[in-house]
Amino acid sequence: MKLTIQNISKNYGKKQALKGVSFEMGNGVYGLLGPNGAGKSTLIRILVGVMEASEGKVMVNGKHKKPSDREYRSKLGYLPQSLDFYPEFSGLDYLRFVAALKGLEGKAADSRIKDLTEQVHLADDLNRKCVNYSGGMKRRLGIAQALLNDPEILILDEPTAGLDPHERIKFRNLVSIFSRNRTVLLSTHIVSDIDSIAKETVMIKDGKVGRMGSTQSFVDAIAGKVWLMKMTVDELVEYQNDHIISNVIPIGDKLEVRVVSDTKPSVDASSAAPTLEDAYLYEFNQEKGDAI
Amino acid sequence: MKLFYFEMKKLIFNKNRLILLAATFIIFTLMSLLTSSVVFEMRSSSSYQEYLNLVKKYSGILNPQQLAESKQISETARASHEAEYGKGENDLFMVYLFRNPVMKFHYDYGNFGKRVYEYWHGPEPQDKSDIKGVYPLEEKLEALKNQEDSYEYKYYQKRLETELLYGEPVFANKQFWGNFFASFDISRVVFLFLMVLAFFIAPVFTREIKDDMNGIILCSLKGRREIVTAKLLSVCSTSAILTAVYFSGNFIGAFIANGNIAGFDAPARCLEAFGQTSIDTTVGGMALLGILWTMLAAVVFGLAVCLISAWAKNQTSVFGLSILFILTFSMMGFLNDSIYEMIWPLIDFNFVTLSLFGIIFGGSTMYNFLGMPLSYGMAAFIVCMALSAIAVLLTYFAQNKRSVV
Repeated sequence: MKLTIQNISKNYGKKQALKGVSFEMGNGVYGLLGPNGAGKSTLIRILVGVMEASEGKVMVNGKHKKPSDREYRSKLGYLPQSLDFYPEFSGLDYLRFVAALKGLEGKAADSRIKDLTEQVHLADDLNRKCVNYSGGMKRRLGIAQALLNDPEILILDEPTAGLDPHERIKFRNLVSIFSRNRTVLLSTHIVSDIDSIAKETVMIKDGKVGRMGSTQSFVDAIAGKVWLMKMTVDELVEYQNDHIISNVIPIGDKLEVRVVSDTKPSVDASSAAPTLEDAYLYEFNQEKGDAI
Repeated sequence: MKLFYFEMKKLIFNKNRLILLAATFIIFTLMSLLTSSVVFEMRSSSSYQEYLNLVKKYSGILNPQQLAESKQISETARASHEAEYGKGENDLFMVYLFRNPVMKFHYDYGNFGKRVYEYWHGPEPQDKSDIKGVYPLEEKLEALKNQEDSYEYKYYQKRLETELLYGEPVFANKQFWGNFFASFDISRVVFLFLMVLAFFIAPVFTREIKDDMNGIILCSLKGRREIVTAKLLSVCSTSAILTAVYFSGNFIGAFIANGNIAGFDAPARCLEAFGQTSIDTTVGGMALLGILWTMLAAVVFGLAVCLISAWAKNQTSVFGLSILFILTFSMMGFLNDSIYEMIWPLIDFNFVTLSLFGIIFGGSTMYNFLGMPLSYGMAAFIVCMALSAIAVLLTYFAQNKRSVV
């Protein structure tokens, strides 16, 4: 499976949300990182065919696919960023409805629903009305519906929002196992969701692809640019205005501050091993010059 | 089939909607009971049995001696009532008749005699643009003798054939059916039926936006075509169910008031609203046909609301727009003749008029279709089919073009 995004642009009136986005995905998990308003959700909607691009095309194994293409839709699994449920449906009703939408019916649908709900720990709550589910349960139900048709292309928009740490780890493992022979695009703000499982990460900003590469390549790119230094609270208040700070840990009466900087920020600063989160912060502050 | 099942569950077969449906059924029944309530007074009168005996005795073709007697009695009663309450107090006089069932019989028989007279001689004054009555029709055809290929000749010839085929009206006890057929009146159809139907259908597509389900539906295998088929079928089924509930309520309300369904096997022309109908059936048959026709009209209207829902963003705008259409169309009947001449297709074939069974099938209206007279009923049926086809096609188109913003 090779999913190619070729020169995708999207205009909302005069505003250009996407500006010639191009990249290619094979099997495995791909992370889509970017700040709010960067164009991630727009790109995802175009990919799943619920929004038309102003320019460009989506290709599967070299063939151009239109949103109306049934074969393409039969390969898709999609979890949108916001998802509500029909108040009159139970979890089981909801999954059966989505299964019917995906062409799964009868015993095949029920068997698939049983497997998936066990994996997302909803098997005991299937007969409850969806509206009575907690935020995390709703998200897990959303993940289950996306996987119902065993999709070749799985697109997840903020899938872990509302999940507790235990559920997030379970989810990561599920996606990781699932992605062996499939393409998974995972859009998130939470860097830890993808840093351990993403084959490659696409950083998107201002409607353009900033960089694309493996987690290691992002980390390598900022080697020697992450520092640890100690300061007081008052010093930090002043310092954070013009520096990228990725973490703060209180140690005694002082704070250990993790700084991402091209140069050594102070003589007593010590070098630290970079993470994808550091790389993300560095990437999105490099051009804007904003401080975090 | 599964999708249809779930669409039905969303639209009507859920707790809230079923409670609403039960409430509307109670309202329909109460409204019918309320409008038939005057019959309770008639039934509790000591002369009610005498009334039934008189109706039974004189059921059938006109008895001239009885007509003369009934006319004299009812005119005397009317004059006495007018002397006491003044002219124009028709409602009060009607209440008086229901309290005096024997007098009601004489009044009804007098009216029946007038209808028999009009059957032969036409109404007075005669509408020269639309001649009625067997003798005036024969005279008109005689005058058009040299224009036998003209539309006018064919039209009047067909009218005369129909009149002669059915013969003059007959008298029958049809009190229950008079109450039941009130459910086909414009005010009830508009305010109790079409508006409720619009409310039920309005969320059929917009709720997918409200519940953030559009994205999942549109990118799924059956989310562009099969889901539309399921939604359209659920709209048709909901329209049919609501029609059945509407008429069940009206039937039960009228039955509680009357306690019988006498007259169901009388000729349909016994009913004043169907005095000119060209359908050869009984009162009961006409009621059944009316229910089926209203069901069809409801389906057409439901599909139109469904189309609006497919293009709109929220349920409120769909419902508001539907109500606007209903009220606008229902007021079109009050437009004067010169405006009617300009926009008659819109007046004769809008969603409200199409829902009025009595207007379409009760009279003798025909249209010049390629030089041949086409009955209002047939023309309305063709329009219903065309409107349904357009609504269905545009709904599929809307879903195919739909995107998530």
